[in-house]
Amino acid sequence: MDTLKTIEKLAKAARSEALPAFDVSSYVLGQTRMVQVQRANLLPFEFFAALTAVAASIVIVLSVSAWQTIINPMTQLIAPLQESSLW
Amino acid sequence: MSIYKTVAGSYNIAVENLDNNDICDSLAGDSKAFERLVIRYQPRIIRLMWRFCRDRQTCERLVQDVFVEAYFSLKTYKAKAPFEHWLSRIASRVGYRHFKEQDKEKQTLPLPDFDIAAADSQQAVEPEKAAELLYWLLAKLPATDRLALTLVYLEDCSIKDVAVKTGWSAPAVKMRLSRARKKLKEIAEKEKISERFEWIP
Repeated sequence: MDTLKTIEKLAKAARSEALPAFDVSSYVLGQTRMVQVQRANLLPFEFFAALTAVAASIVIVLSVSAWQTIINPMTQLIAPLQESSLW
Repeated sequence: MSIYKTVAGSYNIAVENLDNNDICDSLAGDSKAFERLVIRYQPRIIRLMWRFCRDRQTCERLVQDVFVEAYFSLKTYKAKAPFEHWLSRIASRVGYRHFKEQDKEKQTLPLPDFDIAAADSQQAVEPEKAAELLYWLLAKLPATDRLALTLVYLEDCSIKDVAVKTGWSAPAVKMRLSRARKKLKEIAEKEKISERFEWIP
């Protein structure tokens, strides 16, 4: 007999097997509630993290512009010497 | 909130009123409405997940995963197809993940000495044992082939149904099924399935 035909016959028989019965509704609802509570608890942290990120970016913008305008304090000492002749 | 989606005004499919109301209420935060959906659809999902595992505890876990996943993606349900189709698509995905986990752990059961003949003369084959044997054979295949053949053999799905449940295109399903059948045939021939169960009417 063809192997695949045998498998199909097995499948036909298998489809009529008795199935287990159980109820998952209470577990599912409990799980969804728990995740929602966790999400709600995370909200203040997310807000604080966002606030920190905004503050950090302002500081970075200011410090980049400050860095660009900063001059080496030693330049003040060397600058007059560069202009004066040595001999 | 409207859960209907009109694609270029071509069609507008409504799900059954009951599902429709419960989905809307669930989205509005009514947990009892989702509980009603779970109770309504769990027998069908249990049946489907039982095809993916033959252990009651694992089946229970998988069914729970399906409904939890459905709850958190309920917003994405567009009512283009009945709710049951959408749910069985999630279930197939969960089942496929389970197959992949089994592949990683290489959980293939040893071939038991299958005596699938029914004790009573009413039925030729014991359905549970036939399912067990088929499950064992399908477990030898890679996860994708196993998924396609599980849906076809154990759920009696057509190519179109498999395409809906897996999200693959119909030609892809057709090709996958033909390759999977070829592999299954080789495995079954190695195990001399047709000789051992030749007597099945």
